[in-house]
Amino acid sequence: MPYKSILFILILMGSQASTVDPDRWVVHKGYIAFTSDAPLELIQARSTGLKGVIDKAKNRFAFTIDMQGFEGFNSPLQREHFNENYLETRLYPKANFSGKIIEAVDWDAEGTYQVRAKGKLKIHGEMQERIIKSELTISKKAVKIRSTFKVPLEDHKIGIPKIMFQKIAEHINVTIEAEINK
Amino acid sequence: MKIESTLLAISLIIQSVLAIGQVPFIRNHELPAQWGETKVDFIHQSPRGYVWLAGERGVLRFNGLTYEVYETEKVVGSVRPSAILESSQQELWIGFEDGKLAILTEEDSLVLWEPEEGWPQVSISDLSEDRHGNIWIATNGEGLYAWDGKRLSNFDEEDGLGSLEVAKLTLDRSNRVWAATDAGISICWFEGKRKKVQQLGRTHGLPDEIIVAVKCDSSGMCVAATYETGIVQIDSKTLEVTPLSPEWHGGIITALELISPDQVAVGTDNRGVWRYDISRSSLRPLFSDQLDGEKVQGLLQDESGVVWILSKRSGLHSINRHFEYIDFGVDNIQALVGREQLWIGTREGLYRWMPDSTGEGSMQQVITDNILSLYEDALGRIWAGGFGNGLYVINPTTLNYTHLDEATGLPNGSIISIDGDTSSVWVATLGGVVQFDLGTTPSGNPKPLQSLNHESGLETNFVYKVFVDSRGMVWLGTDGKGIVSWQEGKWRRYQEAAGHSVKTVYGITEDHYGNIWFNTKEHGIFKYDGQAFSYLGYEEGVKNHSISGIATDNFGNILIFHPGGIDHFDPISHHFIYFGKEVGVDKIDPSLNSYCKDKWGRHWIGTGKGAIVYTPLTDQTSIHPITRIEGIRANLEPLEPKDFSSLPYHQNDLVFDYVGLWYSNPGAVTYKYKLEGYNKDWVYSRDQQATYPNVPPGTYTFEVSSTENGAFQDEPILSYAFEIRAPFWKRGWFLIIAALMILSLAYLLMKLRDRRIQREATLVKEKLVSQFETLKSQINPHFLFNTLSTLITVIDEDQQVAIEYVEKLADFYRSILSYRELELIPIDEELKIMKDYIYILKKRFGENLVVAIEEIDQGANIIPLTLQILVENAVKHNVISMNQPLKIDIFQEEESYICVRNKLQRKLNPEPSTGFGLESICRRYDVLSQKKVKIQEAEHYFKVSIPILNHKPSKYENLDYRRRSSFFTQAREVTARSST
Repeated sequence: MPYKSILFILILMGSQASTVDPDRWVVHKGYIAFTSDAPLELIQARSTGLKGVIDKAKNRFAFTIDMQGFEGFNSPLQREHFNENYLETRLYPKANFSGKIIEAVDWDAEGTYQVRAKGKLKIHGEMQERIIKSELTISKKAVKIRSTFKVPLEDHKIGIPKIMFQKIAEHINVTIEAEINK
Repeated sequence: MKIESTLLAISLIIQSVLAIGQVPFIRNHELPAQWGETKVDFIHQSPRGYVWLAGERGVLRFNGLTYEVYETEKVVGSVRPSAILESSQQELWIGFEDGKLAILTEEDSLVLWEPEEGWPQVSISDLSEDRHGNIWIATNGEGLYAWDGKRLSNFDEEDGLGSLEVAKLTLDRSNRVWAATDAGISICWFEGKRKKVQQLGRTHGLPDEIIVAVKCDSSGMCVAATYETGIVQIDSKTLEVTPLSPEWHGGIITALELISPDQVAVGTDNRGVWRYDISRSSLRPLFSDQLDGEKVQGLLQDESGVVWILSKRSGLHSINRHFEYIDFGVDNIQALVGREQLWIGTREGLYRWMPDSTGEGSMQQVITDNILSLYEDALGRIWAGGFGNGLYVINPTTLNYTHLDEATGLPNGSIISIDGDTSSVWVATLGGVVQFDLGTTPSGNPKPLQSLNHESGLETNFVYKVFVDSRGMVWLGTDGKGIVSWQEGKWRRYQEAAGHSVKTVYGITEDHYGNIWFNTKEHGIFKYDGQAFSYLGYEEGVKNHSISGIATDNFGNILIFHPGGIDHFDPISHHFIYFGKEVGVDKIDPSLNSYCKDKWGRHWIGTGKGAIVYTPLTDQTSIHPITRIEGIRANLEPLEPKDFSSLPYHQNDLVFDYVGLWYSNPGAVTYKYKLEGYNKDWVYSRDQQATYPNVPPGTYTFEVSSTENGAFQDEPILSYAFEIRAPFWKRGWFLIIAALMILSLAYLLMKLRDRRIQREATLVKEKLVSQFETLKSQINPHFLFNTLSTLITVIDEDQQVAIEYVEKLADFYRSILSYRELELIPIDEELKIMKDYIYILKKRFGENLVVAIEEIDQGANIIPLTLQILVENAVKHNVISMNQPLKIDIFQEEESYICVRNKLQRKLNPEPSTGFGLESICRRYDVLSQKKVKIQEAEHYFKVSIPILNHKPSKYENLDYRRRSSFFTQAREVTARSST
């Protein structure tokens, strides 16, 4: 299965512009934000570098994000720590989540649906299987995806110095928004 | 000795009677009334021992007698619960048809379970818990989920799961979850955090891909049921599949349960419940007649060995598998024997029972004589003893027999009992006991070796029971002559045992430790361990002394057969289990010694037209009811578990609800309980409730134990310790504070009293001083001289004025005398004195002295003669002359002061003064008032402000009146001294 998803991501990378397969939809607008709400400090960062693809025939998906592209933070130093100490973005420049949607989705029926995406979430080089609740809003011309979920640092071996625990939450709240033009 | 052999043709089998199949004792359990017509369709036994049911409106907890109803509608709406599981954390997980899950907590509150990952969107079909505490959730359409307490993971086809349609789950010995799916069995587990799935399908030998149920036991054996092609056995380690019922004819399978290591119960869609014996490959109905065409929805075997059947239409049934009943369709059964085949001796003849694979069977008559006793010898031959008609020794294969009677060497043709070992057979006739040589081949004729009878030393010819023990010793239960043992010519007779006389002995058996047990006609049961006897009577727990037989089961327990049922006695723990009405064996009235044990360890007890079959269960783990405290109420309000251990003093009307779970006979459970710290003795009761009103503060332990047999020996005791806190006013800290407060209050009161007494004393003293001073000044020669000089002048001028003057003077002295003892006087009284005094002074000083008195509030009080003393002081210390007239102002200041102010024109030679008058005034005001006397000496004037006192301290007046006489005396003395 990992080979499949890696292949899938590779395809996704290469096929940004040209959608050869009509079943395959590419996210044209992606947004990701995270919040670390620790007792002493609230850290927020966001990025519009979320890329993704959905195979509507197979109910599969793959999302990826360039970890170095996050903006925000409370100081440039914090951003540097994020990149160099915690997420080690030079070593692990990408985070991705790929898998399939558990529920059967009728991509032509307009409306808002709650679905669960089951897949492998890879952050900081650590793979975790996750089921993530998402909201799909299907309209005539577009599909909007919105999801919020938690990422426990421990799951992805993101080491935080003990002294920083009051400044960085154990769970990072992540929000993603993606839009696909049909 | 002539022995006649008769060859019996098969054609001699006269009759073949159809016997009905074995019928276990079945109970139907009504659902609670408020449940109405709602059906239940899921059954589960919790680790705590409760039987839980799930139905349309919620879940039910059943304790064997009553239901506890938990409606789920309020929390999840009108969705049907479809699976339940009580976890090791004592939380009841409830899965619903719409995929939601809820948890009934230990505190009985139902809460929705809301994982971050969201609920499945399809119905929950089963729930399971592994030994790591992971909760496994089977769904119809989304595969399997596992909850590790933090994260919900999903197993689907991509993970290797056979199908997303999962029907049932079971846990194997290696902590793996077996999922019965629409495409084989998927064995799932976690290796670290990684999901692992092992798939079993047709290629592994499963006869069908649709698996409806799978069940594993602790030995590593698993059994799976296919939709309609029967059941298979799977070794959980090697995963080797063995079909169990290659030609399944039981119908569509809906449920499965392992009811013993050798037996599987299979529930079907419309053909009831089957049981499959693995070692005998036989499929027989367990429960079918009453379930005509009904779908079996659940099967469960609980800890006590009771099998529960949940049927779609007729609800909940329970089967006690210990007992079954077979109706052979023949009357007067007198003897039974047979290790593999059952032989039945009746008054009408000897029958052989031949069961078919379905459990039904037919009766084949072998001999037409009255058969009283039966024995199967070591060579497999059947020995049938008649009543007056001799002995038959039958070859079970050919049915050829040898007939022996009085003519052919038997001392008597009536045979009561037969027993033997590998070399000989002992036959008890009404003419004594005969030993036969067994021979070596089944076809050989048995030869009588010797007789034991009245003449040879037995003292009687009547023996009810002959028994050969494991050491080869022969035991004879005689009629009236006790129990006799015989070995190689040595007799031993026992006619007294453990203090009881032993006369007639009906039955003898040997336990696994070589002890001989026998029952007597007169008393109960005796045990002989080779050295001494012990006795089991009513006191020891034997229910009935009309014992018709005694036997040992394969687990070494002693079985006692009597008309009221069957008692099961554990010779080690001395624990009795009674089987009677609740399992349908209360009116069996077994014939004497019509009993046998087959090679599967089942006991057959002949009674009337049939036999009771008792199957001891190997997996029977609990011999005691499971005692549970179901709830504690204080003042009729249920307590939350967190409040259990410590209660406030006013929550002291306590009710404990408890239950002893004993599903095989819930009605037989009795309890004992006590509240340690409240009463010392156990209370014995049938109630599932103990009430303690008005429990005083203290620490207590509630203890409760339950028994199913009325005897408390080693029954576990459930205890619950708690305290009732004393009210705060009875607790140490409060008492200490209260004592301190009382002490300090007393101290304060004493202090106040001291001060009051002191003040009183000061007051009296000051008053005396003041009076003395006043008198001294008024009677001082200067004043007298001046006054009298003035008087002379006045007399000369105007007699009338002189009279007035003397009157005023007298008035003045009288006022001094009458007011001086008073504590206070009204201001107007004081002013009246003042006016007299001023009149006297005016006569002397004329216009040179001006005393101006302003309006002063009436009703105010001052210390008597204060103003007079102050005016006197002013006159005394200042120059009064034509050139320097003295003006004295008396006025009220700031409402609460009266001021006496005079112009300051000091005399050049001041009169000697003690200053005592002013000082005394100050001190007296100090005592009587918070306000101080203010003395102000400026450049031009001298001002004294005295506080106006509003109160009227009457108590001092009384005091003063009492002392008045003594004051007068003193005053007189002072006067006398001054005048000299």
